[in-house]
Amino acid sequence: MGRLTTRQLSRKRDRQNRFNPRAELQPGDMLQERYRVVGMLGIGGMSSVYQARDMRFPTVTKLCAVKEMVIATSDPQLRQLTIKSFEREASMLAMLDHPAIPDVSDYFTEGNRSYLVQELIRGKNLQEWLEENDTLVDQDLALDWALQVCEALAYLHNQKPQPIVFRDLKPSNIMLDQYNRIRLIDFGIAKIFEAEENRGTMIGTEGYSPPEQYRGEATPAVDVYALGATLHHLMTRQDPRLEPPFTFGERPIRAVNPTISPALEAIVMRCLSYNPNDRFPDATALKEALELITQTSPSRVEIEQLVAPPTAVSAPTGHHPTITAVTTAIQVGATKAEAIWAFRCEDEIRSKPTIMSGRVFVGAYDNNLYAVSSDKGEFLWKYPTLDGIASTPCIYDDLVLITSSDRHLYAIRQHDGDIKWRFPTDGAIYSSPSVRFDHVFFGSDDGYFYAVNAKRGKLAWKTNAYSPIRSSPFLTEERVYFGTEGGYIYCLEISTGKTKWHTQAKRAITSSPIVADDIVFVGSLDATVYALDAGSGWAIWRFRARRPIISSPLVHEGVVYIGSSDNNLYAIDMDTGRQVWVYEAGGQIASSPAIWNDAIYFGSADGNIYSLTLKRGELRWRFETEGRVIGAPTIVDGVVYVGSTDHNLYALPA
Amino acid sequence: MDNELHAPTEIQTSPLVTTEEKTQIETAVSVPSVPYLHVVQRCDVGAVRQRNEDSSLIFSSETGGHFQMMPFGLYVVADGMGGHENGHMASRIASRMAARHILNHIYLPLLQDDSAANQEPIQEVMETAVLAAHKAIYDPESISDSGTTLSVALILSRRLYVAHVGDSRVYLLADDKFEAITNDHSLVQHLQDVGDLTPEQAAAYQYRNVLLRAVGQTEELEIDTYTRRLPQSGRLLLCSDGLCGFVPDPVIQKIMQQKVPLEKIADKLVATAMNAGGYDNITAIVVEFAF
Repeated sequence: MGRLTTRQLSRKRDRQNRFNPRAELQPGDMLQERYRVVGMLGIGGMSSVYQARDMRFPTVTKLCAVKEMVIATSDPQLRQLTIKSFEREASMLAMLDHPAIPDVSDYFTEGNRSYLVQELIRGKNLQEWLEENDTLVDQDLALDWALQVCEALAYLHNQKPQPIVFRDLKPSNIMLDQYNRIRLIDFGIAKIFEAEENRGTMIGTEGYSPPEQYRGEATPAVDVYALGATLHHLMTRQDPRLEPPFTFGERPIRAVNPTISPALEAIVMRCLSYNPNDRFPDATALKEALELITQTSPSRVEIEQLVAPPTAVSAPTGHHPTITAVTTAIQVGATKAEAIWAFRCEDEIRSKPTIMSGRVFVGAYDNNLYAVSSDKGEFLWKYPTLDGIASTPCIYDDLVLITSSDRHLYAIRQHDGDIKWRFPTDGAIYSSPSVRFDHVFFGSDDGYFYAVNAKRGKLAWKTNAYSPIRSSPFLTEERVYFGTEGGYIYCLEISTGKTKWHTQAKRAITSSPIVADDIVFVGSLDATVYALDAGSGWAIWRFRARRPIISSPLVHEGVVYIGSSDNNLYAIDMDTGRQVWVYEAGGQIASSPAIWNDAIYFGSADGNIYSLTLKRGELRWRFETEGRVIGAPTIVDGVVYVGSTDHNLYALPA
Repeated sequence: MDNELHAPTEIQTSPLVTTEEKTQIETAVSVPSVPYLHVVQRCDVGAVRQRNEDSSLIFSSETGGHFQMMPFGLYVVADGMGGHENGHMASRIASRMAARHILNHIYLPLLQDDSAANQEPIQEVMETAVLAAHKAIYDPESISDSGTTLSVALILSRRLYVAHVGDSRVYLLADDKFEAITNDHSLVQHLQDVGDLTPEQAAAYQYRNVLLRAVGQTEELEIDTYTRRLPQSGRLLLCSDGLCGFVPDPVIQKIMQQKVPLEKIADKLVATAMNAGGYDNITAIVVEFAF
């Protein structure tokens, strides 16, 4: 239900008063000749909840909760529609049968109001609990409550034919009944009654709602986020409604409440991922993770697997890192590759390192951009952004340019790690920056593609692509090519940002395009590699893999190399689109390949970094890390630099 | 796709390259103001045969003025299988069906809408065009057993697309380099590929006319496709084995390289084949392109 400012609320009440002078029900008022109002339990933007006595039982006092919702529209057709939706949802709620969900016993519409009659829950809600107590919720209590809420949400999410989404989970909607059991009250049914005009009022006030809910999406992942936000509030006593939206990553739980285990913190932070795909998909998945840490003390690796999101992007866990450089040899895989050095970050590395003048630059999910010496892997400096870094640094003069999911593009001085300027966008940035003509080019989750002056950090132009851009651009003398999550491949004029053409794939293009021989090559989540005429966008050929493609293609001597989540690395003839060879790794390949001499290198979700012969795709060696390898390798002077989700940046002999 | 909905908007503050700079860049490079495709064809019965079983087809589209469209040139050579009753029918149907398919799937959409969205990959269109020709000819019930070679070349924008079955050929001449883009699907080529025949032996081989693959012959048909970006200027030759089967490549190359009008080159190619005996029908499509 939409939260409103007090001014908006009073304006709304005024409107309602004009519409119906009897704005609130008074004690003694009768509904349906059955429910006698006893008093008010709560009031919200579009609804009020009254305590009423069911007069069907005249000899005993049977109390119930009556939720009243105002039909805001005066349009008769809309009104009819609203009532129909209400009746449909009320019937659905009446069919639910779970101890944590209050029974719905009746519903009706009177005049311009609809009513839902529910079991009255005695007790206090968690918002009241927070106000009455000044203690932090500890690990055991948090787990107990979280599991109970999850149990109820899982029941809702498993409803057929469609999952039911609670939509408005927050402390004030979670009751602790007289037996200390968790009960969920106040379903988001009131949403039906919100007029179009009021939808925008949620932004900035609903600290428990995930970003996609503001776009009108209601999937089980919405409830997962809201539960995460509620738990975060309970465990830290930091009210998310008083903080900038979606900034939980900046307020690590364990910094405030050390009774919480790293595992529980990690689980809550995964619930709070900005991207719904990175969260637990529904309450059942979350419940399983919570149960695991209740029963056992999981190892670090198990925790990582537990909280590892299914795709390449997640929110940072907000750890405060300490730097340790490992210079000894590390565990080696089946064949004989041994690391020259490893450098440990405090969180996963999912991006590709950049090497320049003896320095390796790499972004990590611990928010930092690191500079490490390329010969020994020694820490030089780090620059902390405010959120995880999923992009590859780019060098421009004495600057390192890096984008962060904290929505900014940063220009950091190469030699000392000081910031020179930063440029804001309205969305998280996963697209890696590229420089040409003294300008930086990149896309943002706000749906715009940006050209920013690299010297001063000022906007040159931006072009609306109407959906998040996570693909990194390919630049030529005249043009810019990139993909969008909406499934388009764009070609813009580099000097003005004007669209030259755009072509549609069937699903998102997260892969970054490459142009060779006037052909644009790019992979798509629709499991297809596309070859498009760079001048017109017309498809020349397409190559079908078996599963979605996130990996970016590499072109070398007439052959296109690309990985797929079907575990295969494909070598495809550039002219004909026919397979030259294929190599099956032990896990999905999101990493983009790199070439050095006669070998090709890439990482896989099975934790290995592979080296194959270029001509025939035969295994040369593999190097085993302790986490999935999502970032691409960079090879300079015979050394392979590659990051892993085991937090390490490795330098391996090619 | 709805173009109205998805046409991106630009918010422009300052262009990276000023108009002045742009003019300088543009004038610095000298490219022909209009890309052009010039084409000539010859399809001759030869000196020996009674009937011409070859078919050829050319379709060029040029636009001018405000109406700008990608250069489009479609060239087809089909050589009906000698000895079979309806060889001439097969080559004619194959050329017509393949051309119809390509015009329907590429040229007409180009005229209707310049959007590239939802468009079938060109290479797949080329392949299905040959398949359409195959389906039109292949008749499992028939004993007539007619078949044909089919070489289809499409120039669109600055790219060459080729789909090919049989032993007709597509050659590209660019920067003094003359090469066959297609591989012959003939017994004599196969024997050379596996090392059973030397080029010298091949030239005198008895069964030079035996094809391993042809349109309309067997139920399944494997089609070769090629694409490549064309150089700034050059020439293309499509021919039947009445030319390339009797005139050695270096001789053809010399003629193709002559700086004379295409008509003369085409005539010279046919005349040379005739001088070599003119044992088969002779088809040559000569294209000159510049971008």
